[in-house]
Amino acid sequence: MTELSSTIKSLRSLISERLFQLNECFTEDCDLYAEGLDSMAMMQLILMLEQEMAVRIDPQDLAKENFQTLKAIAILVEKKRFS
Amino acid sequence: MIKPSEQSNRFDVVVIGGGSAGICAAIAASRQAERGSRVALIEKSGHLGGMGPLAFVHTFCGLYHPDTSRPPRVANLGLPAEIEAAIRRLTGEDEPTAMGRVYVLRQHPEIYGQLAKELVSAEGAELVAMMESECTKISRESDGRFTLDILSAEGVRQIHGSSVVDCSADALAADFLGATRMSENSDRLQKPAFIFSLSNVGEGVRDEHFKMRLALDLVHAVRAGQLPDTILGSTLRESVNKGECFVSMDLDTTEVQWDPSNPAATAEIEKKGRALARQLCSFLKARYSYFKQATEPRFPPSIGVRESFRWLGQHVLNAEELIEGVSFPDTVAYAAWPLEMREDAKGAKFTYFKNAKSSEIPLRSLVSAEIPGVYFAGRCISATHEALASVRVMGTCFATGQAAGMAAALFASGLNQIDVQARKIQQILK
Repeated sequence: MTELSSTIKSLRSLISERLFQLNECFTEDCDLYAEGLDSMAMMQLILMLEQEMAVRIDPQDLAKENFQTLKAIAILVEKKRFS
Repeated sequence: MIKPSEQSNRFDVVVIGGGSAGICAAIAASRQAERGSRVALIEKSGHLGGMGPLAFVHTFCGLYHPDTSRPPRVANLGLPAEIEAAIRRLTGEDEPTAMGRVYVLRQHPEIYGQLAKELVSAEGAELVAMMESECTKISRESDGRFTLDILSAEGVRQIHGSSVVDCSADALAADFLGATRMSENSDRLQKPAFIFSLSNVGEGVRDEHFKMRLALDLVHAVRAGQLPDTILGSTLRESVNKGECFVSMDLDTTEVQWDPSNPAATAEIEKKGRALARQLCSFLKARYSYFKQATEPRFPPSIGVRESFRWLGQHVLNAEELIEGVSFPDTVAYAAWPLEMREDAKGAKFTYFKNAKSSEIPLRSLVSAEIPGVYFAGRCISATHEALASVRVMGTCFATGQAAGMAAALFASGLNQIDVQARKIQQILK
């Protein structure tokens, strides 16, 4: 499994456990905002990324598209880890 | 001959509690009852509309079918639809807001509180609202009727009813009548909310990017130890009134071992809510220009209790039935809000229904398993802890209130079979 797909997998289980249940047909490219990711859930998501994935989210990361899909978040996480 | 003074204490239906469920139960019972029948609505505060005016709940959840791929449609006909139309007219809110897979309608606690009073008084003299009156005892007489002690400024007055609808939110009547009262371990109880408002706030708070930035800053402030982690359950939502916003926080109850049957602990947790709100306000004022000119926060009269005690009905509605969308022969209301679990004060966790459809609530979960003539609606219906996380919201309270009120009126008129009551209600609400 590549780094990216393992990050996507962890994200999926964290979001399902703490924010909203993602069903089997929710792919890595599906829209998280349509699923209920709002500013309130965003707070939990950011905390999750910082605590569980050991990255620090900065103000310049806050573009809406960075959190739109599981894949987008995973790419952001990988990029942050790498830098 | 019955003396006029005695006549005035006799009712066909007595509704306890004037929250979202209670006002609908009383109005529906009054409309359903035969001519000349009388309905009493007992409310301990000076407000009608419950958690709206009392706890500053400023959205209606559960009003619309849970399907944002289509235009919003009201899930329950009758009073829920009437209230939806009235609140939109009064607030000028054209459309509900899509929030992920569900719609919510913004309202205003004061406007809703006034509307609740207008709706009740529009019913005329056969619906008697007794305000600032508390039910302190209920007994069931040998003829099956109920006698209630009502405490108010005049002292204790006894009233009588053929049927009772418990919309007290805490299943108070179950305690008085010696019936089963269900609850959850205090560590799993849904955490109560503390909602306050700020006025004179900059228009920029509406901006989605600002809200994302606020979320990030709050997380960093919590991680740096500048704010307690219970702040993480907070939301900021702009009011229907220009320049005003509401902030909702979840209260961490573990330290004070809060449980809703302990009034001293409720006062303690409310005090913590105020302290937390002040901390958050100072943070907002110090950091963001939008809050520089903001007024002092307005605190609610009460905390927003989400869960306390429930009745044991002829059916106990469970989470699976809601998620799977199980059909019942005696469906009288629809649940349209996902299971919104708030067990840890750090934000909500949503579980959506499998099909993007409203789920059914049977009349049997609004009828006592033990005492004929007792109905209930709102937060104290017969449901599990998990199912309550969906059905407790105001939109659903309107619907269960309406159904329970109609059934109680049918019972008072001599129609006491639950399946027959259900069919009648289904016909009327078609």
